[in-house]
Formats: sequence, structure tokens, C-alpha cells
Amino acid sequence: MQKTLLSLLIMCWATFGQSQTKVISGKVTAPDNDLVPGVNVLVKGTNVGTSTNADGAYQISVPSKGGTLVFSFIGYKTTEVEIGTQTTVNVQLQADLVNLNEVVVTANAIVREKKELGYAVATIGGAELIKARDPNLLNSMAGRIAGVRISQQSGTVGGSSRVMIRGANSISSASEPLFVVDGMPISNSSFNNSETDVVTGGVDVGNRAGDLNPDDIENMTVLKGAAASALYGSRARNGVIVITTKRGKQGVKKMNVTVNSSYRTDNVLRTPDLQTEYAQGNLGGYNPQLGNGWGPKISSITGTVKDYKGEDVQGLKAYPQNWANFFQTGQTMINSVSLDGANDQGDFRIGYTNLQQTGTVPNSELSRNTFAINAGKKITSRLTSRAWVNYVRTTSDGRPQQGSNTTNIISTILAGTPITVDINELRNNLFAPSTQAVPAGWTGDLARSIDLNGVQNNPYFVTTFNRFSNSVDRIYGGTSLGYDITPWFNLTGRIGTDFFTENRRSVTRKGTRGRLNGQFDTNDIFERELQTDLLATVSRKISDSWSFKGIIGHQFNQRTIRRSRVQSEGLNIDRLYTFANAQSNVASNFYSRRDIFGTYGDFSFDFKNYLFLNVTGRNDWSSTLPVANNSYFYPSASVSFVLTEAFPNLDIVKKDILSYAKLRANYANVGSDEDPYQLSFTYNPLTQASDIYTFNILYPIGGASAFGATNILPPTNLKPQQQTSMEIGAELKFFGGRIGLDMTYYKTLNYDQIISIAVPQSTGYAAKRLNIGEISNRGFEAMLTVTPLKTRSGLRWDAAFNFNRNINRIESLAPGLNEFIVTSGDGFGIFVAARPGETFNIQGVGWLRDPNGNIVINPTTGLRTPGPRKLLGAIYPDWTLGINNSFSFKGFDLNFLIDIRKGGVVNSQTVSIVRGSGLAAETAINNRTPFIDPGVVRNADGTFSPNTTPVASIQQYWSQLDNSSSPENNTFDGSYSKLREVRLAYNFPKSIVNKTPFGSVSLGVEGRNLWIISSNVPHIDPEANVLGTGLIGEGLERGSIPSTRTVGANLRLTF
Amino acid sequence: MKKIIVAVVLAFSTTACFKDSDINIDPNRSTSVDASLLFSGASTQLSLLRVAELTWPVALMNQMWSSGGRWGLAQAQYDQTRVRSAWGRTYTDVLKNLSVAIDVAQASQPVNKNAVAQCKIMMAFAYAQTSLLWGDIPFSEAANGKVDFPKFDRQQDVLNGCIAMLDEALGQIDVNSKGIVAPNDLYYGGDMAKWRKFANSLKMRIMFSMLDSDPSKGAAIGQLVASGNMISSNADAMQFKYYNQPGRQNPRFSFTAIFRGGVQSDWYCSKPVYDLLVSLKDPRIPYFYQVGPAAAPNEFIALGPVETFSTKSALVNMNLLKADLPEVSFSYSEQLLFEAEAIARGFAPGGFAAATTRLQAGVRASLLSLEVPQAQINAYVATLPELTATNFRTVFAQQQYLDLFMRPIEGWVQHRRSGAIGQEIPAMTTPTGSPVSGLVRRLLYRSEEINSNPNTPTGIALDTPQWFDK
Repeated sequence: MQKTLLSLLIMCWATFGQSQTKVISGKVTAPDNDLVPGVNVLVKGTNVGTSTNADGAYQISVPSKGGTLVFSFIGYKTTEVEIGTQTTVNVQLQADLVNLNEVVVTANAIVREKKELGYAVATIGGAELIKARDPNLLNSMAGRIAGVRISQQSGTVGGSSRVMIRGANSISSASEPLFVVDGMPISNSSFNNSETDVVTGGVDVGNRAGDLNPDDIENMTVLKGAAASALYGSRARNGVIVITTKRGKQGVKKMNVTVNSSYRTDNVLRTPDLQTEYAQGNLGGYNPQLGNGWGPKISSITGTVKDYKGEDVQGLKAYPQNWANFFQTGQTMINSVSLDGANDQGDFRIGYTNLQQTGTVPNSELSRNTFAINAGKKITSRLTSRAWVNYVRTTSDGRPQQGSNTTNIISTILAGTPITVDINELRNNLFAPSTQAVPAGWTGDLARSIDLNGVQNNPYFVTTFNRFSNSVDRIYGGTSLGYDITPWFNLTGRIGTDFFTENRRSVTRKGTRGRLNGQFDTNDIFERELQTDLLATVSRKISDSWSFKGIIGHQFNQRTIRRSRVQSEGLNIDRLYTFANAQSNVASNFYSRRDIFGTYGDFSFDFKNYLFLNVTGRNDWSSTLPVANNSYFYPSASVSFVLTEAFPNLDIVKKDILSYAKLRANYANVGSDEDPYQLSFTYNPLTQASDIYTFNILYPIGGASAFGATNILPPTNLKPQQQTSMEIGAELKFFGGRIGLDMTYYKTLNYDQIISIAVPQSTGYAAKRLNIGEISNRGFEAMLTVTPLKTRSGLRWDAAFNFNRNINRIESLAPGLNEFIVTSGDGFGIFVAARPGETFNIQGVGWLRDPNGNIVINPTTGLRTPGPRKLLGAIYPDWTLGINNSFSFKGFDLNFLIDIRKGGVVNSQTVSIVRGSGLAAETAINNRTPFIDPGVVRNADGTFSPNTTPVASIQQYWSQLDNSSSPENNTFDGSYSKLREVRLAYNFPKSIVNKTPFGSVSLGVEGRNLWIISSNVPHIDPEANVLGTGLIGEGLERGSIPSTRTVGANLRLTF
Repeated sequence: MKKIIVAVVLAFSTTACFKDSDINIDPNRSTSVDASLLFSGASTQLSLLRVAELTWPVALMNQMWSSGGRWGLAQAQYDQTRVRSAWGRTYTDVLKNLSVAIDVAQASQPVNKNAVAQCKIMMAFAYAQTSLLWGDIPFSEAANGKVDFPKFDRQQDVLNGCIAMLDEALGQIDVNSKGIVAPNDLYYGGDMAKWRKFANSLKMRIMFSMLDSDPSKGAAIGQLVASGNMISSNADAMQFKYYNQPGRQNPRFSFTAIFRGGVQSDWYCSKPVYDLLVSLKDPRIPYFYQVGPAAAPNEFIALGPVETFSTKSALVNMNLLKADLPEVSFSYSEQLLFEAEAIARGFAPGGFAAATTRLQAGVRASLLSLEVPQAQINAYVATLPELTATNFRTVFAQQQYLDLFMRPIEGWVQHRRSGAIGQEIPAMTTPTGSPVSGLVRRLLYRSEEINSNPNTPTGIALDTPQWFDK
């Protein structure tokens, strides 16, 4: 090792001596002769580059034998000038409408021209992200990039958003893309304890990509395929979101100051449609003890009756505005300030952003402070350095519980609040009056309940006292050092890290119905990722036609997770959440570490600047695989061909009908490892024994601790997982860029998946870990951009259509296995299931049907009969379409985005509950006259005849449709179209701005998630999903906090 | 240039291998364990299932309790969805861990024979229970991870296998040395003499359940009674203790505490049981039940075929759902009643006179466990008839069923063995709206097993009798 390094150094030294350089200077002007600052100046075929200063001037060292200078700047045609013997090179740029030479940040912060790339990429500029600032950056991407699907999981303040690129790639883990900031991977984890914790009563804790601050982002590039994975490693197989943060820019002044302020309001987008006619009760009889709407008509109750508090009142009345009154207007303030500057010697930028948000659920709030520093310095003409650090502190309080249990505000409280209860009264009366049933011997404060049974909590008691709070302190950043050994040979070393600690506490006050003695749950989470990269880059012209760029690198990546959790129950003193005050504390902890070493090579050949060939190879060694199989190699190849540059004399090219045409193709194979510690037969220390109910027995009991042997039979000879993918695409521009079309067809096959496949439980094990199962995605994505209108007066209309169709298919499971349960939906046997030949489906008990598909009705009750389990529909959409229109005129910029999803299903627990409890509007129609449910009854001889028995009662009809008997009627087509975003921005003209102390002033008004234009799901926003970003599966709504409609304004100033 | 590339690649490839590395050694879990730690986990899990998941749905579908139409539950549903984890957890968390514990105990030097015996007794208990709920079940190839698709053994083979397993265990018990002791033996604190008594009593209980289909078990029961060494006092009873501490409470209490704020409003008085009590003028009524919140004192209103509750409906007494009540796996009164039945049937000597005396002792023990006052017990016992060839089956069926009031698993076995199909005691009719025409006689195999094990029998209806049920 030492010897090799030494010889390497000697060789490097040898190469130094040979190089000779000279200095070129000059100025760059625009067509109107204005000087242009910030123009990139690059010595062609090398990494040597600079940019023009405030006066449009530059200075650059070039090899003494000359070469070609490349001048590029967004909005202008790239210009190449042969240096020859000149020492001054002045250039006038030409305006470019087609923007052929867009540069893209690809793997490892390597900048490439887009035309070189043999795979599909999409970029969103930072300016787009801060025109309509969403606290979660990912939401700003929704509908903008073909093949990228963003789904917001809930309306919780700081809630999470799921990203999926080109479909699910795994049967056993969520197919989340890799997030990379400035060349360093960062965590997008959304740790939420167990699946049971999530579906029965978790909160939406958000995902860590939500920590990213839009104001600090220069641009986001989405690498959709696996072609870039040589440089990023296995995790890139689900696609990569490459984020480049802002750096200091050379401006007119030495320092640029930017201030950006936004104010937004959030209101719930949709609440269930309720009936207002019927009081609580049973089968038409009034019963103030119940939390439903199955009593008599409110109008029929006259005279003195007992209300839900047990007090005598004169008649009852309906309060139809309870939901609307419960949710409040959330407010968000985002203020950011940044200072930046640059000169020939270096650049710097310092940014600070403060976000304060209150949610629609009372007492929920989020606060985030972000500091970002990014500085680069040219130490010598050859040695450059850069360091960047981001510190984020996010705190939130009062995130509401979701899921099917306990103190979920939606499903067990609001959806069970009789219409005769005035929610405003509950707000002002948090504690139980003497008339409510109180457990024997209880003396403390007790939540007022909505029913006399003391089951349904007062929602305000819950939001006031039972709070989930967390704080995240996170630092991510890195430093790099680059050295140009020769102008064509660069060595760069980089080390970066991302680590955070998160402290969570969820408290339940003594006196809460259902948790009378109080409890609290404390979670401390630490995650760290460390990566080092060492890259050697060679850029050389081989001949007049050929040039070459090669990168060889070494990477070390380490990921560490440490968590500890204490579940405390039974408080002695009310509201004192200390371990010593709890009657029982159960502690558990977890630690994991995984290391990967990788070496890689990436070699590009460029033929006459129109044909590009790229081959890559990478070998990884992972700590998580058996030593015998822990090394794996994966290659890729891609080709890009720019037709219009190869054949510039074609008629259609000359006439600018076809302004640009690029064809691309690539093939990639990616191997990947598994989670750590999956290889041995182990015994787990148990913290609790559990059953399907939540009354877990905690250890130690009677002084006895307990262990259990693993329920997953460990593998004997685990191999790396594999993915192969291919992609072909074309990028076309017509009429000087008035019409653009970017199309891709792709196909991905994942095999040798490392899966814990279910085995019969009677074996004593739940699963067996194997290399098994194949899952494929194939799809088509297209982005069409059209400029239907462009006038001399400056009016311009641009429209963009993003279309994606992905066909996901489970090709095979283990032999003999015809179904794999991916995620359990809740306590009632609703699953996300994978079956060979299908995509992921929601699976549950369906209605019994006759051979013709008619529902079989029970002839005695007139009700539907539950039948066998079946697939109730695919969870992923058939296709998605985003339509973005923007109009600009004299500094005004109007933009609106429509987001369309077709196909996929949603199972809603909220719908099930509001219907089953007789509160939904449809349960009151036709005066609740029993009707005949169309279907058939089974005759004694096995034949079927039409049903003639009316349902026993409307109450029994809707109760039977509950998720617990069959989820079929609560599973809906998840198609929707939404007006996702409207924004109007105005850039004040120079003539006005020059009279102010500002450099530029822009004002924006924005609205997000404004309107569900169409949906087939009643009562709720079809986008909700309880599983968050950590679990596989979508389409399960479990009392999710309703999503919000956002309206806001934004003011951006530079000095 | 080429040399540099080669040098760099070589330099870095040598760093990565993970040979002899401990990075992938799991710091969260162990690769070795003591049998006693597996035993306490398996016992706790089994008890939890018995007292929770296998209580509520089973008690309702067998009409032992009534639901009041709440929770979307009803007797008529024969609800299988709420017995969702018991099958899997019995195999993976109880039987598998006991089987691994046996391997660990066998491998220790010297072999911990008592630990092996304790684990085998628990296994026999769990297998017999599982078979009497589901019928034919994986047994000979189950819970050892060695067979991919365990076959389903016939119920008679499972139950006989359990008896053989108990015999093996009895042969390994050495009361003078230690096995799994306190605190990990949560039943008997390591008292091997008590384990031996329980093993013998359990053998007898299994034999009684087989009796209708395998009359040869009568003689075997006779031998067991003759050789004694069975549960002979309340102190011998097999019980899993719960405590009035958070997380260690009897889940039957937790249900009410969590979902109902501590106010019992879920489990109601079911008419068939209530009618039996009334017909016997049984003093247990106010011990089994409490009156509805709006009912007058002693106004016990049972829920019949229509389970819709009112504020007057009587409920299962909160005293039977207390936080620190133990889960009873085998009681002294149960033992006495079995012995009495063995005598009455002529398996053991003494004739009807001795049987009557033993019956009275059994009923007395049963009432005592509910803390019925002595005077009321005496009066009630006095009303018990002298056993005769014509009345003994009915009297035993009645008293044994009532004795198992809070033990729906055993109560269901008792009811099914109490008479020919359709003539069980107490009399029950199929609840309106049931998915099948008969009384429920088995649980259905879980879809997890069906989907993954091709050997799972299919097409068996809920009211198809099991082998033992004649």
C-alpha cells in the first residue's frame, strides 16, 4: 500500500515538471454589448475553468501550446474560440433559445453537458423552488418531472412526502431514491418504530429530506435510472436526487445580499360531508351514550332529554360545522437572508432561514432554523479547496396521532362525534363534569368525553395535553481539496458527513380516556453517514475527433444508527413526565453499523462533440453480506448521439425545423447489499409479549426477563441483490425550441432480491431470508414543452406536459409461494400484498359473489356476506400527468400546475368510520328507509336468484360495509386531478428598482393544493397514506390528518 | 498513465474485505441463550393469548358471553378475524422457543433434564390447546424449522402425541434437582413436584376430551386417578400471575381500562348461561354478573339472540376482570370435577356415592374461588342431586361448564364434549345471522398458513365437528 502510494506520488511529480502554461484574459459581452458577469470559461477537454467577474472580464491559465476556450452561460449559445497564439480573447455571446448546452450536475458533483448523457435527467432550478416555498422541498417537485411521483402523506405540520422514481424496485423495502447534496449522500429516513406503531397510532414524523432548505438550493437534478450508480453505489438504483447548494456569485458589488420572505396560510382541503338530521343512538332510538348518528331524527326529539353530558336539555340541535370549527388556519412564515460574493480567488455564501409554522390541528407547530455556509478558495492556481456546512434545527410540537387506535383525533374522535355535540363547548370544557361516568376510585382530572360511556376523548383535551414533540439537530456538509497535476489531470479528495440527533417525546396525560393512568414514550435517535471519495480525473484530447475523460475513484461509506426508547406508563403525579414518576419504564436500544468500500471507474469518449460513449464499472465490498459473497462488480454503458450536430446540413436542421435531436441509450447493472446483521441465528431480548390487541405484557414480569429465538430463519449463502435496467430515449427540439419533446422508454428487472419470505408459521418461523423474487418495471415517460405564444411585446406562454406510465410487476416469488404480504394495513386483515403476475395490491376480505360476480346477500338480514380474501386493486397509479402552464409578460409571471393521477386504489378508514357510525351524509338519505340491496341469494340447490329481502336497517347496512367485515366498499379508485399550484410573480423593472436601494425586487403570490378538480373517493383527499415513507405501500388512509390548501405571498429583495 | 490507474485500483482494492471483521456481528441480539429465558417468554406469550385474544372472540362465538352488539362483534359472527395472531404466535413464539429451549437444555453439561421436562409439559399444553381449537394441526413436523411445509397431523395423533410428550417429561423429572426456577418459571417457581402434578392432570384433561371418540381412554383415566400425583389443592393449581402494575395487568382488565376508561361496558350476560344458572338457583349469578347501570339491584337482564344492549343489560362482573387476577390454566375445582366424573363413569372405583361426594367438593372449590360466602355454598351444595346413571352426565356438564365460566377455551371443549351434536349442555341454538347453520365447532385455519403451506386442509366449515367432538 505504502509502496503504491509512493510510486503514485513520484509519477505525479514527474508529470508536474512537464507542464507549461500561459495566461489568457479577455471580456465577454452580450449581443447588446453589455458586459456579462458569471460566464463559465473552460479550457476544452479539461477541468480548467473560471468565470467572468462583475465587469465581464476573466483570466485563465492555459497550456502554452494553446487549445480551445469554451464560453457558456445560461440563455446564450456556447461559443468556442481557438486560442492559437492569442493572449487576449474577447467574445460576444449569441442568444440561445434552444439551450443545447445545458450543464447538469451528475454523480459526485461532476458537471457534465446534458448532451453527453446517455440517460434521462431532469433539473429544477432553485429559482423555481423559492417562488412557491413549501416547507417540504419534495412537494415542490410534484407534477414537474416525468417519472417522478411525489405523494404527500398527510396534512400534519412538517409531514412527510414520499418520492418514487419509475416504480417500486423491491418487494421488501421502500424504493426511495438516494439524496445527494454537493456530492455527499444524506439521510431521508423517517424512522417510525414498528409497523404496528405506525398503523395503530403513530404520528407523521416527517422525512429527513424535509430538512433541506429551498433557499439554499441552486438546483436539483433527478437522475432517474441506475446509469449513474457506478459513482454513487447501490443505493442509486432507485434513482438519485442530486442537490447542489448555492455558492457565492460574482455580482456587481463585492457582496450580494438577498432577503426572501414568505407568508402562507393553510386550511384543510377537505372534510367529510356529514348528515345533519340524526342524533346519536341505536336503530333509531336515542342514546346519548353513543358516539354515532344512528339515533332518531333530531327534529323528532322534543321536550326534556339528556344530552351527551347527562344534563337535561330542551330538544337537540345539529352542529354541522364541527369539523370545520375544529381545524384552524395554519400559518407559515419563512424568512431568509443570504450574503454571498466571489472573486477570482474564491467564493463564499452564508445563508440563514427561519421557518415558523402552525398547523391546522390546534396546538401543532413547527419551527426550523437553517444555517448554510459554502466557501471555496483557490489556494494556488492548481490547488482549490471548498468547505460547506449546513446546520438545521427542526422542532415540532403537537403532531397529531394517526392510525386506527386510541387518541387519533380523526378516526376515533371527530369521526365519532355525534352531530348534536357542539365542538365549541368541548373546547371550553376540557374536564369531565360530575355527571359523566367516572371509574371507581378515580379522583384526578379526567378528560371530558364526547359520550357518556367515557370512551371518546374530547379532541381539545388531546391536542392540549397529549403532545408529540421532537427536535432534530442536524449537520451535513463536507470539504474537498482538488489539485490539477496537469491541466488535464486532476486529483480530488472529499470527505463529508451527515449526522443528526432527534429527540422525541410523546406524552399522554393522566385522565385521558383509554389511557387513564397516563404514559409517555421517549425516543432518542442518532444517525450518521460518513463518506470519503478520492477521484482521479483525466481529460484529454486523443485526436482531432476524439477526446477522452476518465475518472477512477475510491469510496468509503459508513452508516451508523443508534436508537434508544423508553416506554413509561402509570404516572404517579399528573403531568410530570420523568422516568422516576412512572410506575413502569421499559427501555430498549438498538445499534447498527454498515461499511462499504467501493472502487469505480467512469470512462467517457467524445467523438466530434456529437457522439458520446460512456462506460462505468464499480466493485463494492459490503460488511453486511457473507464474507465469501461480499464483493460484487457492476457495470454500465451509455451512448448519446446528437443527430443535429452530426448532420448539420440536413434540410430540416438548416431550416431550424428540427433544432436539436439527441438519441440516447443505456444499460446498467447494479448489485446491492442488505441491512446489517441478517446472517446469524440469534436470540432477541424481548421487551414485551403481544397479541393483536394493544394490551402488551411488558418484561420483566414477576421478575422474569425473556428472550425469543429469531422468527426469521437466517440465510445460508446470501448473494448480492441485482438489478438490470435499460433505457432508450430521445430529446427533440423543433422550431428553435418552440416545441420540445423528451421521451424515454425504460425497463428494469430486479432479481436475487434479499427477502424474508413468509414460511408456514407452523414451522415455528415467520419467514426465511433468501435471494428470491423478481420484480420489474417498464414504462414510458415523456415531457412535451410547447411555446404556443411569443410576441414581440414580450408576452410568452409556455406549456409543459409531464407524462409517465409505469407498469410494475412481480415476476416471481419463491416456488410454491403465491402471495407475499408486504405490509399489514391495520388490525382488520387489510394488507399490501405482492402476487406473481400482479403489481402491489391491497388485499382483504371481499364480498361473497356468485359465478356471475353478483354480491351474495344473506337472505335473513338482507346484508352482504363476507367472502374469501381477494385483491382489491393496485396501489400504484396507471399513469400520471402534470400540466404546467406559464405566462410571462413584462415582468409578470403566471404559472399554474395541474396534477392528474389515473388508477390505483385507496382504502379509507375515515370513510369506513363516518359511514359505519351513521354520520356521513349518505347514511341519511331517503329517511333511512330500508331498501333492497341489489344482489343475489343462494338457493337450497346451489343456484342463485335475485335478492328480495330489504336490509334489516340502514344502520346494519352501513355497519356491514365497515372495513372490519370487508374493506371492499371502502376501497376506491384513487384517480384524481388537482390544481396543484398557481403562482403569480412580478419582477419589478429596473426603471423602478433603480430608484430604490435594492438590486432587484420580486413579489409573488402563490397557492398550493388549491382544488381537487375530480376524485372518486368520498369525504377525504385521495392522496393520504398512513404508511409514510418508511414502509412499502400506499393507498391506506387511517384517520390521516386532512391535507391542506395553502395560499401565500412572497417578497424577494436583493441589495 | 496506465500504471497510475493500475496502482490506484490496486491500492484501494486491498483495503476492502471484512475478513475477520466484527462489523457485522449483531450488537443487539445474542447468539446464545439460557433455556430459562426462552421459557419465561414462551409462558408469558401463551398466557397472554389465552387470557386475551383467545378469550374475547371465543367467549362470544360460544355464547359464554354476549357482546351487546358493540365493537362490531356479535356472537353470530363466529368472528375469525380477531383470532388473528394466536395461531402464528403459538407456533413461532411459544412452541418454537420451547423447542429451541429443549435443544439448549439438552446441550448443557450436564443435561438439564428438569428444564427439558418443563418445556415438554408446556409444549403438550400448547399443542393440545391448539388442536382442540383448530382440529388437525401440524405437530410431528412443526416448530423446528426443519420441514418447509409441515404436514397436518390428525387430531387423535396430536392428542396422543401430547400424552406421549407428557409421559416423556414425567420420566425426566427429578424432584430433587433444579430445572427452570423462579423467576423464570412463572407458574411454580421451579417446584418440580407441582410440575409433575400438573403434567398428570393435563394428561387426564386431554384424555377426557378424547373420550367420546376413543373410549379406551377411560381405562387410562382410571389408572391416572389410581396412581394419584395430580393437582390436589388450590396451591397446586397451574396459574400465570398478573400484577396491578402498568404493563403487567391482566389484559382483560386492560381492555376495559383502555377502551372504556375502566367502566365495564363490553361484555354482557349471555342468556344460555344465565338460564342455566337460574334453573339451578345458582348463587354465582351476582358473582358472574353485575347489573346494568340503569337496572335495579339484582335486576339481571341477559342478552338473548338479539344482542343489542340497553343500559339495563347485565354485564360480566368487573370483579372477574380485575388487574391482578391470574390466568388459570388448570384449577383445583376442575381437577375435582374430573375425578368425580371418572368415578361416576366407573373408570375409578367408588360408585355414584363417592362420585357425588367428589362432585360436591368440586363445586364447593369452584364457588370458593369466587368468594361466595360459606353459608350460600353449603346451601347450594345441598341442592346438588345424588348422582345416578341417568342424571350424572347432565349434572357434570352443567357444573363443569359453569366452573369454566372465565375460561372460554376449556369451556368450549367442555361444551362440545357435553353431549351429541345438537344436544350439548347448556342448550344453545345457532345465533341469528350466523354464517353457517350449526354452532361453531372449530376455528378456521389462518390465511397466512393456507397461503404458505400447501398441506393446509381446505373446505372445512365452521360447524364441522372435530374428531373429538361426537
